[in-house]
Amino acid sequence: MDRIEIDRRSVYVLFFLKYYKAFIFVVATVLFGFALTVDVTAELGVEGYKALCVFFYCLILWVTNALPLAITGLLAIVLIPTLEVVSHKMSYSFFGNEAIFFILGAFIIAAANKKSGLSERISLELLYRSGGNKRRIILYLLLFAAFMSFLMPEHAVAAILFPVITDIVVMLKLKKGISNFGKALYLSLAWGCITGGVATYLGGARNPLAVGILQEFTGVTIGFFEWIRAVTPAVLVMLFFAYIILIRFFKIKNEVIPSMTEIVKLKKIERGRFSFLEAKVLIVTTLTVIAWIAFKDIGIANIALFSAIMMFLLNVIKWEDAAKTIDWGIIIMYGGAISLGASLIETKAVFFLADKVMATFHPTAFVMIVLFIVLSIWLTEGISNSAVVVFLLPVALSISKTYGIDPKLATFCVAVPSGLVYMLPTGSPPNAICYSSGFYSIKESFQAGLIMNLISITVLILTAKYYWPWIGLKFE
Amino acid sequence: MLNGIKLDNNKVVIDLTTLHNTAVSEIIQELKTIIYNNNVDVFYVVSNRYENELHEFYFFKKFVEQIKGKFNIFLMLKTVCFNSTKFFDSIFALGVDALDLTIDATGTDSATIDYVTRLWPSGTIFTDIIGECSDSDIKETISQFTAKKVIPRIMKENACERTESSFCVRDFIIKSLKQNSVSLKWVMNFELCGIIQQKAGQKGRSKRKIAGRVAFELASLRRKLMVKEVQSSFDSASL
Repeated sequence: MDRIEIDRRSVYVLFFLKYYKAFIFVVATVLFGFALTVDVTAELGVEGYKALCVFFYCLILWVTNALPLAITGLLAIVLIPTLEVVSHKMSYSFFGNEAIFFILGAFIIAAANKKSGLSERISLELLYRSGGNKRRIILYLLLFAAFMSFLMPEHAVAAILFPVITDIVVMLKLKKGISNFGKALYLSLAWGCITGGVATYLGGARNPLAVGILQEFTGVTIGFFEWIRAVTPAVLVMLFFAYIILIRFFKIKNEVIPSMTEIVKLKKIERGRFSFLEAKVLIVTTLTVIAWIAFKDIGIANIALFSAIMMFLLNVIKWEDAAKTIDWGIIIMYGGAISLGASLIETKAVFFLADKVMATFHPTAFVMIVLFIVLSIWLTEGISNSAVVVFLLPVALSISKTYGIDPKLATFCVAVPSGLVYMLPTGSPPNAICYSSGFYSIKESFQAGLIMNLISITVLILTAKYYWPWIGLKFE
Repeated sequence: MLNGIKLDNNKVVIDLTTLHNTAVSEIIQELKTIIYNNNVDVFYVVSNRYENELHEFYFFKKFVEQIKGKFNIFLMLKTVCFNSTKFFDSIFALGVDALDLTIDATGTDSATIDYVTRLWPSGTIFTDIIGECSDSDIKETISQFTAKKVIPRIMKENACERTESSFCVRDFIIKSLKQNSVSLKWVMNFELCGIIQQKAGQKGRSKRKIAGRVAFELASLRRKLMVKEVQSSFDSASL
């Protein structure tokens, strides 16, 4: 007979638990409908008011996941012209933002990397070189996951390295929920991906989304190398602290596991020789990164798409492989978010919102920066990191204009902390993947992550105060 | 028509004990033909051979899965009142909408009856009364069952042939069910209990069809909410 369980709770409770998102959707829709009937202040204008209504409506749906993220994105695109916030033509044209095509290219490059097995080979090599020393394994894994997340989406890195770690854990016979080394291994993978994911455009799609919003708002953009130069020092400091926390929190001793080298060696043999396919991917990826740094005038999306096309021309992947990896939901969601942000700017609703915030609090520019960082890092634990960018960045950019804060600095203050989800497994895909190992509890992840969150806030505030002004991003 | 399948008004009686050597696909094909040519509201399945016989249970399971998937029709199962909550959990999860239990007269089935009446929606557990001849005996038996939220089925073919006083018995059952807060919507809207069904004839057929359909869909939703497969619980945690 099937392994089934009968839930004995009241049917009303079960109904609510199953369909609470539908309730949220209905309540949000009723509130949205009601808000649209309210008289508008002349200061804001009818279009601006409607844009704000759509913005908060979609924000509630994104934050609560009442609808799938992509569907809310589509809803935003549909509502904006339907409510005559901007014309149909303009609303749909926002979807043609460079960031959207960059994300598409990045997905295809990641698919090629995954298919070739190059990333798995590099990770095995790294573990082999650790010599079986526990602390060195943690350090190497942390650094390697971070480095890989510089070049491909963090969740793809977690997905590639997770089976490698699982094999090692199985071979070492580490026990779930008991082995501190096992816990540290999985958390180092999650934290490495998360921390590395904020360092470049490629680590998380929220970074190009932030640049897309910046570009729509101010017309300026951030180059690939410029982003790395601004964020990498903070990332390195955070990785250092992540390592210290992991070995202290889980009491990892400086000792060698004798069988480790043998295990990895066996896996290396299974992997076989360096293939021509891997060579092709390595060359294209390297050239792509060089192009992003050296030929930024061509445009990062152009380079990413060209690189993606090369992967097809060199017969690295087929369209079927790419189609499996491309997350169209993410692309549509970002398209909707960019359209929404642009309509807020077009109707000047975001300036109105920012003026109201400032008129209420009167903070200094530095306090505003601290506020952006702290808000982003805490909000992102509970809601999608892209939703944080969509919600906070337009307001931050508007406020930064009044305060004379460099808009690029404001972008970093929102985009970087919004990717740093250290505490909860639900906060980001790498966390969820690693948590699924069953090695550590939410309590352990929460406790270690809380320390890491506080350190990240401090590191980012110090970076904003001292380092970013030093490289020309002023806030006063 | 296959031996073991019989059309009785709006009800198709399917005797799986007779049909257990017939392929499920063949039975389904036969049922399709019957439904195409007749107005069918209920499948009444008779099967008593599956407990501790995995092969029989898998045949039954496959049959019910197919029947629910293809016809989405009210399904009543006539079965022995096994002392196995796991068995009843399984058939509830499979989509059996009502039970006609063969209950042991000694009263050893009390715990199981209590269990199934809480698991299925009110008014969907039945039992046949046979052999009670005097008015006082039949009333006492009816009272005992309705107190346990089980609806007594007194069919025309009852051994006592009490057709002439059936109206009186029917009214007593309905009164007793109401006193014990047992829902009457199933017996009023479906061909489940002939004697009570006669009373429902007073209502318009289309009205009964709509009310029956609503009750059926709500019961399906209730089942969907209550049944958790181990695998789906794991998936729902996004792990």
